[in-house]
Amino acid sequence: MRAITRSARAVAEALFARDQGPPPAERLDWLCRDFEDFLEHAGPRSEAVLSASLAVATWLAPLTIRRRPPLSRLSLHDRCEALEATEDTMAGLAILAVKAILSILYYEHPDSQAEIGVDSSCLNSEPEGRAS
Amino acid sequence: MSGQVCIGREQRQPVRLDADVVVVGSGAGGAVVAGELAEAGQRVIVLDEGPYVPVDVYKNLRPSEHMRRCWRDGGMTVAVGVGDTPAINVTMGRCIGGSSMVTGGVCFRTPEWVLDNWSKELGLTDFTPDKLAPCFDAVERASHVEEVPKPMRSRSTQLFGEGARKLGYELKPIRRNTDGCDGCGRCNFGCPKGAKRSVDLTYLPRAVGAGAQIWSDCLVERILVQGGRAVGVRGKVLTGRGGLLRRPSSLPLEVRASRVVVAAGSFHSPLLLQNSGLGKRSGQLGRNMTLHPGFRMFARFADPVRGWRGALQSAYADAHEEQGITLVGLFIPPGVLAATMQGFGPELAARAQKVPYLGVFGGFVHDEGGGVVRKGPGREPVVTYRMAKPDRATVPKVIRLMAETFFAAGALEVFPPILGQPGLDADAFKRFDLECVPASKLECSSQHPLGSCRMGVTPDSSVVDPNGRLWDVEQLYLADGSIVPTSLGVNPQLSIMALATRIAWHLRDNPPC
Repeated sequence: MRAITRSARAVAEALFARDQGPPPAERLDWLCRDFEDFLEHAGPRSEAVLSASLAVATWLAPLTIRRRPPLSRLSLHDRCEALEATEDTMAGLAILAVKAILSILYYEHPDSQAEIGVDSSCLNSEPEGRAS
Repeated sequence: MSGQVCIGREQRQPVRLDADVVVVGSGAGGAVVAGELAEAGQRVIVLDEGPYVPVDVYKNLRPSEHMRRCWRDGGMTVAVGVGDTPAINVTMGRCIGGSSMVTGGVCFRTPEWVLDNWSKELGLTDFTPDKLAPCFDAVERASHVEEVPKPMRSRSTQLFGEGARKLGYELKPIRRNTDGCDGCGRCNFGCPKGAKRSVDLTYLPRAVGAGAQIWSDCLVERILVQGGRAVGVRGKVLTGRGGLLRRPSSLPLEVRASRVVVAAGSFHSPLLLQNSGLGKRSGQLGRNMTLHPGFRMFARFADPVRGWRGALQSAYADAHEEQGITLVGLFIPPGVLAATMQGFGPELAARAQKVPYLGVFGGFVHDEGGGVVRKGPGREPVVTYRMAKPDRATVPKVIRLMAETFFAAGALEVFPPILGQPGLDADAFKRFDLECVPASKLECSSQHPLGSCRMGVTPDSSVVDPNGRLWDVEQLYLADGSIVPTSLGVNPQLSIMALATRIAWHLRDNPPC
C-alpha cells in the first residue's frame, strides 16, 4: 500500500468510526483500493492536492491537540479531535478536501449507503446501485 | 459512436495528420464546429486531451468513477481566491465530450438583457436575439432541448418551490438537453440511462458520420503559425498516465490544417495561446474571466426528502436577477452531503443519518470578470480570481435568500456553505452574522468559467473578433466559453453552442483563400 493510501486509511478509520469502533476492515480495504484507483485516473494535480491535504491531516493535525504525529499513532478518539480542531483552522480546506473525497468513495459502498438510508433509485424506475 | 474514435493511448507510432480544419477540444464548442463543418464537406480532425469514455461505459459508472475518468483533476480544480475571495472549486470535463459530459444539461438562451448590454456597451451589434435565433434553433433541435415536466421535480426542489411561493416568488421550469430522462438525479456524473444528450451523443457522431476523425488522449501544446497564418498544431499523444512524480509516456503529434479552431475551454484556450506566443496584443488574454461563483444550501426537514429521486436540475428562479442572483435547483451525491457535515467519527455518523432528510438548492452570482489565467509550473494553468466588491456583497444575500426560502417551506435547520458550520435553526440563523463570515470559510464552486479570451469589436480591447477569429492571426479561431465577453447570469452551455454554431457557419461560408 502506498504511503498516501496509508494516510488516507488512518483518516478514514477515524472519519467513519462509530461508537463501536472503526468501520469493518473489508470496507476500509475496498475504500483504499478505490482511493488508489481514483488517484490513478484523476491525474497528477488531484494527486498533488490530496497528498498535500493528507500531509496536513497526518503531520499537522496531531499538533493541534498537542500530540506527536503521525495521525495513525493516535487513538480513534484523538484522531477525531485532532481533525476536527484542524477543520477550524486556516488548514480547514485541506481537511475538507480529504473528507470530501473519502466520503464520496465511502458512501458509494452499498453497505455504507444502507447505513444512512440512501438508495440509488430514480424517480421513474427501480434502484440501480452497484459497487464492486 | 463507439469504435469510431481514434484512441490516442493505443498508438505506437508518432501521429501526423492533414485536414482542412483541426479542432482543439471536443466539448460544447468544438463538437458543434466539428459537426457543422464535417457535414459541410470539410475534412475535420478533433483532438482532445482527455480519454474516450463511451456511453455504455459511463452509464454504469458510480459518480466518483465518473469524476476520476471524465472530470478535470478528478473534480479538484481550484481557482485561487485573491483578497476577500474564497477559493473556488471549478468543475470542468476532461474527456471526449468535454464539459458537456459534466453538466446538469441545463439549457438557457442568452438573456435578452445580456445581449442588449453586449450591443450597447461592447458594440457587438450582430448579437441580437433575432440574429442569434437560427443558431439557437439549430442547437436546440440537435440536442433535443425540452422543458423538465413538473412531476420530474425532486421533493427537494418541490419544497424549495413551496418556500419561494410563500416568500412571493416563483420557480420556473428549466429546459435541458434530455430525451427519456428517468429522474436519477445524477446528470453530471454520467446519465445512467444515456438520456442526457451531451455532445458525445449528438454533434460528435454527426461529425464522425460525415467523415471527421476524433482523437482522444491528444494534448495540443502549440499552434503552428507561418506568415501570420495558422497552419496546424503540435503536441503529444498521451500513451500512458502520468503521476505526481512521473511524466506520462507520449508520442509526437502534429496536425497540419488550413484552419485551426481552439475550443479547449476558458482555462486551457488562453493557456494554449500563451504557450504559442499568440493573442497578446490587447493585454486581455487570460483576463476578465467570470465564474458565476456558486453556493449551495442544505436544509433538514422532519420527513424524508430523498432529493436524489428526480431531475438533478429542474427549476430556477430569476426573481432576484436585478441583485445579480440566479437560483437553480440541484442535488449533490449523498457522500458529498455527508462530507460537508460538521465533525468526525460517531458525531459525523449521527449527522450522516440526516442525509435523506436534506433538501438542497443552489444560487450563483452574476459576476464581473475577476479571473486571471496564467501559465503554471507544469502543463496546467494557475487561475486566480478576485471577487469584485459588489459581487462579494451579494454572497450573504444569496445564502440568506436560500435559507429563508427553505425555512418558509418548513425546514428545521439549514446548513450554510460555511466550513465547519453546524446546522442553524430559524432563530439561530436570524442571529447569525453572514456579513462577517471571512471569505476563507466560504464553500464556493463554479461550473461556468467564461470570458478569458473575450470577443470584441476592437483589437485593443479583446482577443477575438465577433466571428471568433484571433485578431492577430489569420485562420485561427476560438469557439468556446472563453470568448463570451461577460457573465450571462444563466447556465452557459446553450450560449456556447449557439456561438460555436455562428462561428462554424461563418467558416463554412467563408473558405480560406
